[in-house]
Amino acid sequence: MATPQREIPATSPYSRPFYKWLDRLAPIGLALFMMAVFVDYSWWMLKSPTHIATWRSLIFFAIWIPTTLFYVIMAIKDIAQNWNGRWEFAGPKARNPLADTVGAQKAEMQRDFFRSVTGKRYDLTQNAFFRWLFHRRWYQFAAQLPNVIIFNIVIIAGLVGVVNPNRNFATVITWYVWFGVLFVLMIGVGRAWCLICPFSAQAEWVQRLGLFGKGKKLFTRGLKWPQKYSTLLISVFFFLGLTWAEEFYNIAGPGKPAFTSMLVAGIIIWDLFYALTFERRSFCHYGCPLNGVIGVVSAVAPFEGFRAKDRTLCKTCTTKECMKGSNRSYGCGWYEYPGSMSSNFYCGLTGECFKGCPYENIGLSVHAPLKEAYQPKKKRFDLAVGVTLMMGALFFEIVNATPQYAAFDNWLSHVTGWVAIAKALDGQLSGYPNPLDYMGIILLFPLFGWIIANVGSWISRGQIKARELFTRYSYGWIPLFGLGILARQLPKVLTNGPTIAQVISDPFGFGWNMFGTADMNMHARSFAYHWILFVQLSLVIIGAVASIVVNQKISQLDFRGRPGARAINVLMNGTIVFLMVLLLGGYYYIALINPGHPLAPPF
Amino acid sequence: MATIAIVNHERCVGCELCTRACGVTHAIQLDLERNWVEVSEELCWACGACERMCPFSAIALPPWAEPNKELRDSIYAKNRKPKKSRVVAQAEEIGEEEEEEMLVGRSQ
Repeated sequence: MATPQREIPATSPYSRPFYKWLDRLAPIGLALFMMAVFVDYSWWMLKSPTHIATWRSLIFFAIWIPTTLFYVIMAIKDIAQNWNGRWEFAGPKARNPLADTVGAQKAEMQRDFFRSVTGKRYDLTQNAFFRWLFHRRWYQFAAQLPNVIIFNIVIIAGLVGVVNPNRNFATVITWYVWFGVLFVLMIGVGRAWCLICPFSAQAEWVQRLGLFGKGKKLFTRGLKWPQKYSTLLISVFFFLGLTWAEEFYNIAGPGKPAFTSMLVAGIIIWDLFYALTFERRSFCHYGCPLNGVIGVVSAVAPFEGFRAKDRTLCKTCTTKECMKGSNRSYGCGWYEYPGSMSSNFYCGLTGECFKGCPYENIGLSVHAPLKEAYQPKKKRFDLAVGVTLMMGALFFEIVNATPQYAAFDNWLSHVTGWVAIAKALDGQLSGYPNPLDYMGIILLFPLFGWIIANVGSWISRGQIKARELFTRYSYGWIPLFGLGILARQLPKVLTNGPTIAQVISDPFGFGWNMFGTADMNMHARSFAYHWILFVQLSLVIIGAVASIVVNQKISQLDFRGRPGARAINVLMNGTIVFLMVLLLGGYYYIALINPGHPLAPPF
Repeated sequence: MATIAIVNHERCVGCELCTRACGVTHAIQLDLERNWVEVSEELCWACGACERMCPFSAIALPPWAEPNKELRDSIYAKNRKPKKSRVVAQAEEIGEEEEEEMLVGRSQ
């Protein structure tokens, strides 16, 4: 059950004065960094001769000054509280002797549920540095602050910057860099994006009235999220809505950067509303459009999130600081309990449980990838439906690049009168894509999964229910979806990504040169387009192989010895191969009809 | 249908804090296979202790629920040990006194 543990020293190796001062000075350094960025931008803004005393600089200062003031005042408050080492960890409590008797017995009774702790793992918190880092209150704040600054500049750049999307910080950062980095982070670490997410960071700072300190009172109404709407599907529907809106308003480029900044600001305000109304991180669970995607794709990552090292101890713990909070930490914002976590879907890596646990019983392990997708005993129906819906969204993004779809969509929009509605919304919009065929394409995939599950149920002569087959085998779609959607983002990221060099020096397109890279002209298209298709195809093939591995494991763990299990396994692997062929064909066809591509026909 | 606490299965993590809180009638038990708690309809008297204890608000009573004290008392009456009659209790007390006297006498 429990992994072999080294003895944890009673005192931290980082309790010497040097580290105490490091602990004090790190937040000060971050606050100074924030001030430095503000001063630098203001200086360049005041220096540009043409734009001062216009509405542009008004917007600039109206956003920068209050946000910087808020961060700096909050930081000073927290630094003052932190000064005398209030959060210094005194060392772990003695182990409860009941853990070896009652706790072990209870954990043994749930052996089947806790099957996810098997296999080789390396616990990062065995390393003294990581232990020290995760105990710091400013651990998450240090990760969030740079991102918060970047996304504040995104909002400002979208509003005041030039309209050319390739010269505007907002479009380049959000759609060319962020969307690529996001998927790499998901597949590499899991919810690393949620750790550094600037949207919920700002909302949480307001909710807690502090940047990284542990306050006593919260600034929120703290309502409970209604039970009826406690499902992942809400966030999946928001994701589908966002994808549609992004295509409809052509936000992702080349579109108006103002739309990007409105989208980002809208998400922040929406998040703030949730944070002030509901408890903890309800937004991240039930409002964030990316929650479904990030949670699902995290299963591919080799990190298992903060989790109890020894569950027997948690079984006898009555205080549960990880969930309730202590004088050094808040309770988990993500509604997770390290003592019974079996997947990393919902671990936001905030490290509050690590700070809270009086027994030092929380670890952050690295293990073989894909484990989180097949090992959980409790697989969820809403998550399964979400995966199939998102697979539909991925296929829509491929299909919408073809001329056949464009013609069909145009015809449908004229027949249904959608064009007139779109024109009424904004004169420049063409009404593309039509929501009817958008939803039609997406709904095909849950339907497909459901039909396959019914066939599987028929193979087992009704012994295994279709709902169970659908729920468990949909987890096998996860790697294919994760790598497939990364492949979809790659061309945009790789061909336009290098423009970041110019944009960093000249974020608003006013002709600044902050870092001397404004004139670096990298012709990314020339080096990206030859091989990009092959990278895409190999990603899809890797995803499909991973999916088949997951399917095999699911068959072994969940269906071994049940009627028709082998035939169902073959059927499910066939489904993955079919989806892979569809994806490969889609990417190849898009590349083929792209006039600049070497594989395209010469006419 | 009886008014009992409702568990949000999406949110419940099986920490068993509510099981500990439900100390009067022991109406809540952990489902070992699914790792969420189940509330027994016969035993839950809607006192709300579990709701106050749950850190993630995964268990809640409907807003109209009121503590069903009769149910609590009936369960309590069923479960407690039979009460000794007054005469027996007095006799025991007397016996203890005599014993004490004897002990005191011996020591003297």
